[in-house]
Amino acid sequence: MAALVWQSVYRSFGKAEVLRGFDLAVADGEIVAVLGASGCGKTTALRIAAGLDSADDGQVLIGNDDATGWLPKQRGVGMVFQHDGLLPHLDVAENIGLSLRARRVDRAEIDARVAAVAKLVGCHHLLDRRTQRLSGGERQRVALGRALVRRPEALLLDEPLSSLDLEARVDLRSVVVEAVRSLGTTAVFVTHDHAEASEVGDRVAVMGGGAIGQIDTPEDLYWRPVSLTIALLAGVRSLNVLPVEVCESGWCYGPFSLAHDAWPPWARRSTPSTEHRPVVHLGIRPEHVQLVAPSAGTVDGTVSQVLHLGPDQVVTVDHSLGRMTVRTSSARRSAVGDRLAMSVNPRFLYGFDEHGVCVGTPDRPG
Amino acid sequence: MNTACVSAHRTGRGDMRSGRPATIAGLLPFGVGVALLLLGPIGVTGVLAFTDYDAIRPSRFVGFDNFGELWNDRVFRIAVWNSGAHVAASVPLRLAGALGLALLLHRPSRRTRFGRIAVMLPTILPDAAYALVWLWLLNPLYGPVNAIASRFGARPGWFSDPSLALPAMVLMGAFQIGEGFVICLAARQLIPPTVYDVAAVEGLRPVQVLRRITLPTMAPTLLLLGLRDLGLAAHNSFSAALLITDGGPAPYATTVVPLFVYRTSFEYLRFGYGAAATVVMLVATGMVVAAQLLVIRRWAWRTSSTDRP
Repeated sequence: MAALVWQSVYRSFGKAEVLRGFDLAVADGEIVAVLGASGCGKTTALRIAAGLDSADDGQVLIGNDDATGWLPKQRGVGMVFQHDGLLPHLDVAENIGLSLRARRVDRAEIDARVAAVAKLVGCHHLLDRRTQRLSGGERQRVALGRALVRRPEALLLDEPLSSLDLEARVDLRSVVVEAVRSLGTTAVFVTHDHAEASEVGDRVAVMGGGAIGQIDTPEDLYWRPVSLTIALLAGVRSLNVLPVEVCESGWCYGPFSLAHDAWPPWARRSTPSTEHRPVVHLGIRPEHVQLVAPSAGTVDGTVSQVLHLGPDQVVTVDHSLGRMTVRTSSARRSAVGDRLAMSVNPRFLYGFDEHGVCVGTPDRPG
Repeated sequence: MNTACVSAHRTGRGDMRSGRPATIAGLLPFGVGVALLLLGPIGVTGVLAFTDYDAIRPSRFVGFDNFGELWNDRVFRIAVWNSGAHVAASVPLRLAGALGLALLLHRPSRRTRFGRIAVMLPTILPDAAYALVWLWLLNPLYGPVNAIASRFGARPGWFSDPSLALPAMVLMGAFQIGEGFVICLAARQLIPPTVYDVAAVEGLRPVQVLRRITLPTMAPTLLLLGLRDLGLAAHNSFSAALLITDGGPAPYATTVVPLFVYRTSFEYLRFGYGAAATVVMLVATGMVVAAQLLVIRRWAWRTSSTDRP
């Protein structure tokens, strides 16, 4: 197995600059999830690593070798695609063993290795089936087995689960992680689904504008985003963003204000960065807003939508300055039209400057 | 506007599902055409085959006499042999040409667009013009082919040498492959690109990609094309044999069955005898097509079943 490194990779298609200095280092045996919107260049980065596309500039290192310009088959990386690419005229075992047969591996060894990898990805009961009648989830298991059967140096997964229904998707996340872990393969898992990235990746690399914006553990992405864009991406429901101004009494949000002594610890520390880059947006996650009975000085509004998520509910409250999303336990009854007030614990506030750069993050409880 | 569209759509579908009369009405023009232009003549031919008819005297029923005469007719035997040889050589050659060019030109680019037009051109020419082109190309004295051949000391008389005339006709037909080419092109473009990405990543060599991926995936299309070419072989050989060689060089080097039928019927005015030859040709073609259909059906069943038998 080997580490996989992209070094300032550039790639344009016509006038569209898809990759602009893409840097990513994946350690040997690590699983990195690359998270980004559709069309942000995730797939292009993978194709360049696999040798299916070539960079305009920059290098790809596999192990410690500069693999730029190598043919796909010289790189020893495996790839699983969004569309499985199974061959309809072959059965499951023949599809999995394709690369071994191409390498003229001994028949008995092919059978043994195919059986072993099929067991690993959970499709051993399908080996003599033709591929047409398999479900989407089964097909991707076969595709995963095909990529793993020759023990690749690194495995590239290009949104392998995005065309599956939710149930199969959740099932297969753990199948992918367990299979990759048990082989110790280095893996890069591309997805546009935040939950999927958090579950699969040891680290999550958030991509935007043709480069990696931040790479961190799922936890740190949530608590310490480097920018407003990334803060909006991480989390189950989007961050609430409040435009604020620094005024005499502290921070002003319309008629409401937050006094200096109530500021979160990062703001009170008054580092040079916060002085030179005043906060213009505060962020608060829906799960850190409390619903309380209206009283003087609270931000109150009317419930416009309630989404029940089993143990939790997501309540949208329209107030005089905008709209706030609140996530609370569903033990509290809420209905559309209720008058409610919201209370925010300043400890959980994020701060962003005028460029959207994060200048302060909450202190984690506990 | 929107509701109008939706309701119109619904009515349309409703008619399709419930209204047999609408279906029949829709098929009627085609049905009438088939009956008048195809089934009628086939029926007439079937009846004529058992008569002696010269378009002057009334026809006379002769039973199987025509078929008996065909069996002993030396010229008809030669024609059957020539047609068989023509089909056996030209069908695989045309199929290979259409497939090879489609694989070569399937990528979209300016150069391949030019190439595709070049492949289509011989097919859209009228048969007579195409025959004239080849008469010039293969002219033993002034033709460009022999201009090159003569540098190597050869000056073959393409359409005048009995052993070369039929191969020259096969060669002519091998360039009129536009339709097969378009079908192969479409079949190739239907193969998902992911399959080829997989092949590249898994390290398959070009020959393996062709043998393990492209050909098996395109096989149903290729089989159908072969079938169609067999059916069309008669048509393909007729115009060249009539326009260029007139069945010669002497005695019967390029006399194919359709030409034999044409001569017997319209030159010697033996319509009954010609009809009998047509029936033989139809039955023979039908048998080959049926055999191929059987193969295709078995193949299709094999690939669409869930488990291998």
